[in-house]
Order: sequence, then C-alpha cells, then structure tokens
Amino acid sequence: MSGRITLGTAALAIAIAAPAAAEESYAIDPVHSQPIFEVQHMGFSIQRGSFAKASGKVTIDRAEKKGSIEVTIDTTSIKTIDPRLDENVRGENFFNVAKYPTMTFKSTKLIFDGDRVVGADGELTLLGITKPVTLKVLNDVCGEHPVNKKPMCGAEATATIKRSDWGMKYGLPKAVGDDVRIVIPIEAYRE
Amino acid sequence: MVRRLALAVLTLPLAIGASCVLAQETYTVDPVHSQPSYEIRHLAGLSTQRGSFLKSTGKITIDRSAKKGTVEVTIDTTSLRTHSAALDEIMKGEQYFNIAKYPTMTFKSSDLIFDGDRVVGAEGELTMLGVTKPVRLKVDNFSCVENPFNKKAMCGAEITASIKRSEWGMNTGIPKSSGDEVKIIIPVEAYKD
Repeated sequence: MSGRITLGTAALAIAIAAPAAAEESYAIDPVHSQPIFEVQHMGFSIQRGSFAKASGKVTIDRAEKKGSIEVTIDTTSIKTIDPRLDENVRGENFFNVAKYPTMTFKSTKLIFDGDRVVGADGELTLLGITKPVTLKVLNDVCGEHPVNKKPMCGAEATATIKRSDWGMKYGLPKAVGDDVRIVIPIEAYRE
Repeated sequence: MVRRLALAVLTLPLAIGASCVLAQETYTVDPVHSQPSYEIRHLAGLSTQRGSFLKSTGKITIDRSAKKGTVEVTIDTTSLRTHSAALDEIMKGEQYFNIAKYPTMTFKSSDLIFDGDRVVGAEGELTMLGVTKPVRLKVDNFSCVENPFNKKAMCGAEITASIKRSEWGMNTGIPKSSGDEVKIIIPVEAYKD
C-alpha cells in the first residue's frame, strides 16, 4: 500500500514536471548571432571576418537531453578587414556566393553535460559539400532579457575545420591557412 | 701595453656588433592587417559580442639584444564597426566612445617584456576618453620573417589585454546591458622601415 502511494506520488511529480521536460523551441536573434571566422594569414597573424546575416532554430529538451540546431548563413553577407577582400572572398576562389549563396549547419544530436548543452554533432554544407563537424558549445545559459523580459538562451559555439575538406583551397598554404576557427555567439528567443 | 691592446681587440668586435646586431629596428604597423577588435559580455553574460576598429596606425621599435623597445598605436575611434549599423551610431555617441570629442584612443609603451629575444608583453598606458591608465598587453606568436610575396622584412603577433571600461569613465549599460570587462585583441603585422 505504502509502495503504491509512493508510486502515485512519483507519477504525479513526473506529470507536473512534464511541461518543463517538453521540447522548447528557440529562434536565433540574427543581430546578436553573427558567425565569425579566424584564419592564419601568412603565418604572421590571425585575421578575422564575419557574416552579417544568419538565421536559425534551436530545439532543446533538457530532460530528455535531446535537441537540434539548424543555422543558415548568408554567404553574401561576409565582412572582412577590407572591402576589396570582401569582393575577393565572395568570388569563385573562395565562397563562390553566386553559386552558393548560403552555407548551413544542421545537427540533431546535441551533446549534454547534465542539463547544459556543451556540444553538437552535425553537418556543415559549404560550397555544395556536406561534411561532419562537431561544435563545442560554451556558456549555455538561459534567462530573461533584462529589457523586453522575453525568455531567451545564449551561448558561444566554436569549431575548427579544414577549409580544404570543403574544396576551398585557394591561397593554401602560405597566404591563408587551412585551419579555420569558427566562432558563433548565439542569442535565441524562446518561441 | 699588452693589456691595452687586449682591451682594444675586445672593444673592436663589440663596436662592430653594436652597429649591426644591437641596433634598434623600427617597424610600421600595416593598418589593414592590424585592426583592433574587442569582446564584451552582452545581457549579463548571455553571449559575447564583438566589434572592431577599421583604422589604426602604429610604430614599433625593437632592440633584441638590449631587450628594449617601444609600441605606439593610435586607433581612430570614428572607424568603429559593430554587428549593427544602429549600434555603431550609439557606440560613437556620448554614452560610449564620444568620437566628436575623442576621435582617437592611443596605447603607448616604452617597456616591452621579453622572453629570450621574443616579445611576450608590453607595459604601457591606454588613453581613452581623455583618461590615461596603465594597461599590460600580452603578446603571443611574435615572429619576424620575410613576406613570401613582397619579400619585405616584417613581424607579426597577436596582442591581447583585458580592461575594465569603467576605469576610463565608460559606464553606460554596466552591468545588465553589457559587461564592464572588455577583452581587446589586436592582430599585428608590421613592416620594417
């Protein structure tokens, strides 16, 4: 009898917890989620650029430790250190934006440590080539926007890829390095 | 007499060495490849946001033998670029960089820190919003070689520092909108004069 009551109480607790365990969906704030890249320049220095336009969705079920990420980056929105270089990297030797106006990252396998997201195994499609990439996710934290009071989450996603794996070989190895570090700050509003 | 001769012989190579190896070298910073950027926590730590300055100029002098040198960098605050044109305008205003009154910020150091003959840091002073305070820069990956394309002698490095912006009187938005601590990152490519 006492065992049944305990079971009933436990079931009730789980039923109450169900709303929290449900999958939550977030839309990425494009202004505060602009992807950045870092690349070695002639072995002298690390040069940076960013993409001004990206959009995406994140779903998280923290109880089930499951979730997905889908980010689309507008390759035409690339911004580097110099407008002439912007034109150059939009061209056929690099991002070939006329043919490939977007690149995407998709993951249906978020990696959790406790109830915090610490990574994502997924696939990056760049220049029409799709290859696996693992994102490291730092500082996954959720709260309320202090001004508009909307629930939101923030994080920093990073990965290092070899651009030659996607066929972007121009300037290797001396002018521009093969290793590209990607850094994506993320702010996403709960839907 | 023998002693005097020995001294003279000893002094001779020193004098030759002094003019060649010990000489101070001067480098001019390449503005395109040396754009300072910064990182700051946004919304009480929800994310890290970044911005950069498209225009800066600078000179570096190095005397590796004497382990001495100087850095002088001037950043054009009007060239600020963030992730949003609307934010650029806000940041250029009185609440932040106040570019109408302070169109430049400067970092000056006459105290380079060496590890062997490599520069690993610099103690200096940052002047921002008319306020001058000490700042220590960390220098990573300092190396000097010949540019493979134009064959000019140059040095490259990555400079980082962390400051509290409130110490220079830039207090707007702390702590909820954006953090007090600002990480500064300056890639450096500099050509030998």
